[in-house]
Amino acid sequence: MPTQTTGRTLLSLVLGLLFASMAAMGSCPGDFHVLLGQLQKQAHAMQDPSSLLDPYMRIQGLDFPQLREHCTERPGAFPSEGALRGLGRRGFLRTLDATLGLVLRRLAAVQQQLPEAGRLGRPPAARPRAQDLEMLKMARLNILGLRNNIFCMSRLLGSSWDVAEPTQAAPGTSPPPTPDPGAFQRKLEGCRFLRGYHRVLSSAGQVFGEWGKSPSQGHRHRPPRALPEDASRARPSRRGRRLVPRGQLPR
Amino acid sequence: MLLRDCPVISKRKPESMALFAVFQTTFLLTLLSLRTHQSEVLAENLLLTPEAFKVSVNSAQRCLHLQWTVHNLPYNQEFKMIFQIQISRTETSNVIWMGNYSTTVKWNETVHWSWESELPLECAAHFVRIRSVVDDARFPEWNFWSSWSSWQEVNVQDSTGQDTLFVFPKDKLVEEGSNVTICYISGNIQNDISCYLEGEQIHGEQLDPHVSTFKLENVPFIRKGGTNIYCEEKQRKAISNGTVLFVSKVLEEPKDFSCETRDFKTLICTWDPGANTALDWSKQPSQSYTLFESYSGKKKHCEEKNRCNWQITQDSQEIYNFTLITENYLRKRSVNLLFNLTHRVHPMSPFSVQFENISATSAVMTWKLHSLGDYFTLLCQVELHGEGKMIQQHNVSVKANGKYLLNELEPNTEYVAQVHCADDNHFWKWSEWSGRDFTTPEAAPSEAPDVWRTMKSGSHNVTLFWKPLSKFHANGKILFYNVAVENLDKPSRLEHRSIPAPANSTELTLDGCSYQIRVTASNSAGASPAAVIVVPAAPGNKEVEEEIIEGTEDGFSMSWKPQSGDVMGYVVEWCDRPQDPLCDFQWKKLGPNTTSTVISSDAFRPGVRYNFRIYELSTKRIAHLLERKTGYTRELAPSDNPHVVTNNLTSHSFTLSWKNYSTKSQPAFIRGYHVYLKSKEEQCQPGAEKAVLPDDTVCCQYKIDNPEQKTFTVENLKPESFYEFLVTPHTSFSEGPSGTFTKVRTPDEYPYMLVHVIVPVVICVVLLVCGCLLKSQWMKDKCYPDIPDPYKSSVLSLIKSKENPHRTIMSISDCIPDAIEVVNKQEGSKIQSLGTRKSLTEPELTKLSYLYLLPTEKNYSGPGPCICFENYTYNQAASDCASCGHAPVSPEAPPSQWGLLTSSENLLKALEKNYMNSLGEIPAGETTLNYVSQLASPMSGDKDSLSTNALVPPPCSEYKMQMAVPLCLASPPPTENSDLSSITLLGPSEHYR
Repeated sequence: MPTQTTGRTLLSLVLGLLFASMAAMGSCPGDFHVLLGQLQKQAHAMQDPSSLLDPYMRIQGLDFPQLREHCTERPGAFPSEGALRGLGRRGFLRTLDATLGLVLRRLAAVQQQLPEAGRLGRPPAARPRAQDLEMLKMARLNILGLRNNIFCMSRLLGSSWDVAEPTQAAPGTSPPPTPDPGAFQRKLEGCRFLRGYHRVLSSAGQVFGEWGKSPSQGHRHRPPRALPEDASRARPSRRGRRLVPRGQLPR
Repeated sequence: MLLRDCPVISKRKPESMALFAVFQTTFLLTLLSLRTHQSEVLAENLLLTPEAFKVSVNSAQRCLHLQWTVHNLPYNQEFKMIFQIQISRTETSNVIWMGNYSTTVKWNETVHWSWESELPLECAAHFVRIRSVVDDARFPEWNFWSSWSSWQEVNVQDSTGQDTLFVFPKDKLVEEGSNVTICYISGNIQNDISCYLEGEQIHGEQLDPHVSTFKLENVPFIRKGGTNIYCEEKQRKAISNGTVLFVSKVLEEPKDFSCETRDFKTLICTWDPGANTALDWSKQPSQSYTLFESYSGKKKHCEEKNRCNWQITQDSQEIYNFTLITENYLRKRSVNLLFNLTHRVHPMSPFSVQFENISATSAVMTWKLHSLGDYFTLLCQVELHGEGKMIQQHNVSVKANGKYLLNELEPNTEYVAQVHCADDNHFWKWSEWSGRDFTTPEAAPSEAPDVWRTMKSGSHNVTLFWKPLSKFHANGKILFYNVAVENLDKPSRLEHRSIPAPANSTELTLDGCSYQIRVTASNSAGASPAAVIVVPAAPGNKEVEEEIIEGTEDGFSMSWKPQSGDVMGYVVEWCDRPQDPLCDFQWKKLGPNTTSTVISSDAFRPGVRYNFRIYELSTKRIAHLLERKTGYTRELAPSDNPHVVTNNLTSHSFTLSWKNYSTKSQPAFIRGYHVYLKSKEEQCQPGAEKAVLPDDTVCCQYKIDNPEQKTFTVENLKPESFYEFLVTPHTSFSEGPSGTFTKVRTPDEYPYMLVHVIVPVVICVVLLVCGCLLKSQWMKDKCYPDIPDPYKSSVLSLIKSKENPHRTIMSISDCIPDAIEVVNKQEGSKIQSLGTRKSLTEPELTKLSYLYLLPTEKNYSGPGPCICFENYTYNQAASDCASCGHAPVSPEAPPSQWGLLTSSENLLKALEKNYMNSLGEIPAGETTLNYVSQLASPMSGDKDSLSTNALVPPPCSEYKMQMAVPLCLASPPPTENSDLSSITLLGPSEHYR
């Protein structure tokens, strides 16, 4: 099982790096189906809890049956699959991108809270933790790769998208400052957040799958104005309705 | 209880507490006795009560901070006072702690004191009150307790009426091994609550209906992320709340703290930091390290966790006293190091290592050093490595540049030379190694090759073998081998031959002369000394008996007896793979004083027979075969049985033969054979033993102890029987595999008789017939000459002339016998008459001649009357015939020996019918040999009785036609078993028909 997990993680890392480098070089795949296939594969690989949630739970000591049972997605933290389906393609991509951006930030915050054994020498007991920390790093790279492909798909669909400015949650959506709930609650909250993240990616995979079944998309890159309905959905008037995740990883 | 984390103003030991109790009792008694006298100052007691009493809380550290003042003290005076403090939990009556705090107070001074609770302060409300007494000898009138202050309530968490469960302490940082008390406050929750630590339920005690506490002792470090403790409501099965106990590893003292300099500019201090005590969620960073030097008073925070650089100032400080301090949120540790800087010099590694004047056996090594000053002398160590191991090690004292002559090197060898240095005056540490490799040039091989030869018997072909020189002796790459052949018997030109390496043999064809052969090995630097071997004109190898030796896994141990004193050495030769055509020829040369050796080889295999020849090498370098040995490192069981051929199969025996079976190619010495014979017979033949085969069948076993006997005849068998046999070899410890038995069936005896009896008889008959045919005329003359014509007889002319001129010769057919004259003669005379029969041409011719009728009884021997017919005409012929073919026979002889006559009887019988039918009708010319007798009287009784009484001669009362038969027509004497195909011998019954 650890071997499978490692292999899968390695594959996803390679994919993530590949796509990240492609986007960084400004070379997006021009074929809709090729890009869609890549998005599906990425979403499929990243929906697996073993890619992020499981190592997180091991690091935090939450991998016990009682706690695992209670590590459920907080309702409303992430858009439901139905809500994602209801979005236009560009809206869907923006929402997904925003979700991934949030996950990246929270993930970075978590990683900051986890000192590595590195410089003082790593005792044998620390090795599993090091592997899990490595998986968190890989997960971050995978998210970056997926975001880049989302960017490419967005361009393919004719949406103007400033990749330098990652999608932010709308002002005022940040939760108000609350008293420190304690490390335990923050751990549990992070767990629930990641559960929602994997569920969202699963839903995203389903949506991408439906894109592939749709005969209207069985063509190569369209000019930006070829998708009027998506373009209209991408207008600022709709932006306010964009679904954004509300969950957070513990800071 | 006071703990270190609280800002403690005063601490009181348990001993002090006990003393305090005694003191208090005494004090109260005293107080009571003095009560009357002091009543007037009672009002003043109230003035000494602590005032402005306040309690603050540090819930993270579970501390209660108390502060108060004492008014009404004389101005500008200090009083030694004792403050008694009571702490209650949940309610004022539940005092959980009471203690005294002694201190000196001034007028209006605020006094501080702290108390740390085991239980998190959030878990329950706490109440505190205080009173005081002046404990100063200067003011004995003040020496009485004041009144208690009012209770001060401390309530950190008010969960009353809340539906939330709280667990305390929250995110507590403790050190591994500590004892921790936690609690939960359930508020209005009515369900049962279970709490878990890392998945395992923990059990505590109930403080009140809403609060339970859990004491965790000696908490372990589990992970940097902390130990999770959480509680759930059983009915809802929902995690209500939890907390994380951040357990830090115990901060270790740095180990192996050490400082040194490499250039007198920087001190490098290193240490082993031990475990990292950092925790997640920023609860505790990694421990920090600080270097403090006491002489200079300087301090430096170390960036790295295991080393720190300290800049050496130019103020000529030699002695350094360093303190390395490490600390985290929970603990602080330090180690000290005092040293002289000049004793901690770790030189930098030498550089620019070079080699000069490299020859085959020496080289000069040079190197340079980083300067440490003019006063420093370094000790350098030079090491020479070859083939992965150290060969030489030398110490050199060096100021600046080093140089060393490396000797005793081997030609054509790659070496690695390296050098490192240390302070010669105060050794501290060697520098790192600096080195280079170099290769010495080649030199001429230093030793003659090891040469040996094989000679084919009966020819002058010599194959020379030599072993490659070892690297040590080759001194370079051997390019070729030179072979020089010199005729020792007659002066001739030396024959040279150069064979390129890596060949290890060459074949020479010599004539019948003696030759000296010299072999040298050459490399680029020259040739080796010559190996000399002499091949004599006549090898003169005598036949040497082969001796069996026993080998082991380690080889063959063998010894030999020297034959002459003039010995240069001995050579043992063998083949490592004797079964291969090339055989991998090997030899071993031994000194003249050696008479035993052990031959071992990695190529030796069990079950392979190795043959060794031991030669004596004379001082003239001529080899003589001394001994032959043969053996196995380990004998194995024979893998196959001989292929057996069955020969000479008879009804009572057969012969087994396995002559193609080679005993020398077997995996063990064949000591003989076992012949197993299976048959239906229960008993084994003599020479065989009963044996039980692995399949539990019983058979007979014949043992052959001579391995060269490869035939065996199984005898005393029954005809027409099945036998099964198996021949298997046996060695000293086992026998061959239990193979398949071969079936044999013995034939019956009849064909044997046919072959052995009938065939010779037929051959004899054929030969006899052939002889008769070849000598037919002679036989005719002798046995059945032509019957003379009576009309031409001289007798007739005589009769005519003397008696009756009219007399004619009577025809026999006209003659009717009417009278029979019976002459009864003695047997003796009859026999005699037979034996002394004479020719009719003799003078007795005129007398009556009788042809004796013999009795039909074959065994007739007794005397008795016989019937005779007189025949003038035939007397002579019959007599002749008897004389040529019939030997005298004794009366006792069996009837078979009467064959001739018996045969005649048969013929006569054949003619009897004719006679009986037409007696008198037979012309004289046709019946010249027929004589008819008339039965006088038939024999009474049955025929069998006649037969059985044949030995009793009856009276001559029987007549029978009889014919004289020439001998040549008679059959040979019949044997018992002869087949009467040509001549039928009638039985007695037929004689009497």
